[in-house]
Amino acid sequence: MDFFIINTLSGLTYGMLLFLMASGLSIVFGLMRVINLAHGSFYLLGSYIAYAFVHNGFNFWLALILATVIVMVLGLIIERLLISRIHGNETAQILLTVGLIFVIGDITLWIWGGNFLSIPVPDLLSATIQVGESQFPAYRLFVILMGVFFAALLWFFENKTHVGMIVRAGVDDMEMVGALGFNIKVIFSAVFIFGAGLAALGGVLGGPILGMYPLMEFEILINALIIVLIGGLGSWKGAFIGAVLIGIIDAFGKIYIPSVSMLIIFGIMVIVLVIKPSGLFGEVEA
Amino acid sequence: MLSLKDIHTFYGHSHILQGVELYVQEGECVALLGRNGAGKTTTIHTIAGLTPAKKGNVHFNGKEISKLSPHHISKEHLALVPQGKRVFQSLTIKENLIMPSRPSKHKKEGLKYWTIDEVYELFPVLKKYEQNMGNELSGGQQQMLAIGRALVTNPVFVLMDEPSEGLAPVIIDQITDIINDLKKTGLSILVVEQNLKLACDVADRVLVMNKGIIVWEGAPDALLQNKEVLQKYLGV
Repeated sequence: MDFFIINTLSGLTYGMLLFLMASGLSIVFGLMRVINLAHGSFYLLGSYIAYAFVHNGFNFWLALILATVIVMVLGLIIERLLISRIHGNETAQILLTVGLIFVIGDITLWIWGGNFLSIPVPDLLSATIQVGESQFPAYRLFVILMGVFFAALLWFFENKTHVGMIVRAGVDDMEMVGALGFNIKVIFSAVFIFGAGLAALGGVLGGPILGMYPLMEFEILINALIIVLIGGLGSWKGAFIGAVLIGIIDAFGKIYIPSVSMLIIFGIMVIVLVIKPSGLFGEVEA
Repeated sequence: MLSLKDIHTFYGHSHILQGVELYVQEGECVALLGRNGAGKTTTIHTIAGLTPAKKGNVHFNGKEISKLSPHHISKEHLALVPQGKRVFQSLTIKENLIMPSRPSKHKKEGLKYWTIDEVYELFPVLKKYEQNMGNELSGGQQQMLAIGRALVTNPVFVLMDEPSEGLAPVIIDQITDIINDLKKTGLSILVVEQNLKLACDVADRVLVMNKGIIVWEGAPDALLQNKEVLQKYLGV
């Protein structure tokens, strides 16, 4: 029983990190049909920048905030300077964002080197929690709570605020939102940097658990893409369900059937897409 | 109030509008008729800023608006009721109205001030289904919502793109009455139509469009008696 609970919690921890990463990817796509393959690089940058702050004596929480803000600013620059120029041109978007993965990846390699790095767990959460006979790190429990908190925050924003209403309308028909008097460029920039911020936050929170190493962004990106396809493009709710699913399958798959755990994830994606091509919660055909 | 001068608009490489000239006076309702592909919707989209003109001028209330983005044009109190209704499917009926609702800043005397409640008064059926999602309405109800959504932005001018499209004859009569009611509130209207009867029932003046230019202009009665124009450009 303990074993089951511990692994479920581990799966949820990984799932929440993926959720923070995938929800931004999904909303950005839903709103502007821009597929930002460099979204995983925001995750990577978040964790490396937080590492740099912690390494230089900042406390974890300050590093978390600073790294998230810095990545949001970088996200804004990338969106305004590059991505906004190629709306509607999918080939250019793929080429540009894949290019960005390599550029950002090489910059991090240049600054931080190719070794495995990790952010120390903050003192406040260094304890472990007793689960029956076993123990579970308090920090991981905190990551789960953060994931749930941001899911609740997104739900509140989407359903209870005027901005959320505009964003939902934008996923349906962005041009019409513009024709009704809203500046769609500003809306898109705001959503883009919000998504970048969520990814960076995931990166910082994942730092003490997954660490950082070269090419990590691809691993994160592939999982996030699978999640977005399972959950449905444009839907953060789908991203949440998809992320929890992948996190838990990953946790148990690695124990029971390590050789095919990735295969199961792809298998589930195929089954979902065959039954519902737009994903569990999606309105846009993949 | 609204005037287009020598408007040329392109869709990719195709030259859709080839020198459109038209005007709408304050309080006037003008209908723009023509066959499929004549450039009617492009004319509406050019005015609303969705497909900006390559050449020519659009003047609205004495201001050049052809270079403005759609949201700036909307803020000039020019509203769009688009072709195909384009109601927001993932919003409830009420949210469809709350989302664009904004107080009027214009000082046009005698123009009705539209709140969500006023829209509900005009379309009681929307009030009844206000918690339903946008995609749970019939075509006619969606058209009412699309009109209501334009009204809550408190425009002085409304562009309507084929309000009769896909609707049953009895609903088209209802839409005709609504447009006539809106005229009485002092709104200026440019309505694009394929439905000759609706257009002639609401319009003070009719324009006929063919291959990207205005080819005929006159009163609705004059059009109905002009067999040549009807046959040549409208296929009636």
